[in-house]
Amino acid sequence: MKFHGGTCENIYGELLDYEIIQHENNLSTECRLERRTVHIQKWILSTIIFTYLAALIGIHKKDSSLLLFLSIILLAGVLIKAYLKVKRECVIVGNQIGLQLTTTYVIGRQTTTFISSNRIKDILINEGFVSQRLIYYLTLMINDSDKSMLPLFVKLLPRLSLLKIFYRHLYSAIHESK
Amino acid sequence: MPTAPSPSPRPERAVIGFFLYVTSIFTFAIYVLWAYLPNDWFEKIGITYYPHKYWSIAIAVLVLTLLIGVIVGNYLLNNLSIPPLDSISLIHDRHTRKPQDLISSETDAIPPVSDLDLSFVNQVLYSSHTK
Repeated sequence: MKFHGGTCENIYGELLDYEIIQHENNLSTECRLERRTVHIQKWILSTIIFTYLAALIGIHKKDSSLLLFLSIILLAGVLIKAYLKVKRECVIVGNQIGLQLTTTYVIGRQTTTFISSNRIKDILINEGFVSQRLIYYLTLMINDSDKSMLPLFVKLLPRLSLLKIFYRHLYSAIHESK
Repeated sequence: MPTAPSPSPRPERAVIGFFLYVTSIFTFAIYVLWAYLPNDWFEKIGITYYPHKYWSIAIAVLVLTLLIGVIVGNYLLNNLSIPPLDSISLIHDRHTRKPQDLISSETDAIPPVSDLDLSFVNQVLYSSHTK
């Protein structure tokens, strides 16, 4: 079982950890991309700023029903963010079986997409638009009539240097059986 | 191949541009005069049928809001028309030219211009080129 890992950057500048694992005599390749979920500096800075602003407005002098309402809104916001924020994306390719993309969220929820190997045409690094930027992303070409592209790692969006490494491993994993 | 509309200068465009330039300066001068001169001066000259002075402020506010709206609207329209990451139009659309393999490779002629296959480009750029 070969293991190969490191740290790379996101398109937004956040640090991501990656691991590439080859299981069982190269019968399956796994590419894992993980985000460190709590940025200590950003969290401390925003806590200090918002506490100062709240004390300036005088929220601690208002009655407790307003404070309860605000804290419920804050809690709901935190829960929604934890539900939607991606912690890890993992692509596993099995020799002649197919490709599976697993997305793990901060709360623990996991969503899985599996493409069997007869539907896979190719894997590519393509360029696309995300929020007025042109980015590189890894995408899988599928033989279906209705859905022909499956973009991988779109929630974490690593930069091109990592995509090249993933591309080399995943390309050889997909095409060695064909 | 049909010719695309081009923004190059032409004589009709020069005439229209000059007309718009003179008209806009003239309209702006009339607007400033109407907005600032008191109503008695208009009565003395003999002009009695002109819009209420409320519209001088209303037109100015409308023009400014239109300016902000056009800039914001253009930005939002651009955001709406970009294709999503999983659309096939990022790989090939109605303007791509597929290579025609009917022409045999025996002749020395230069083959017509066509778009390269994207997986071939990826192999050359991002991995060891195996073909």
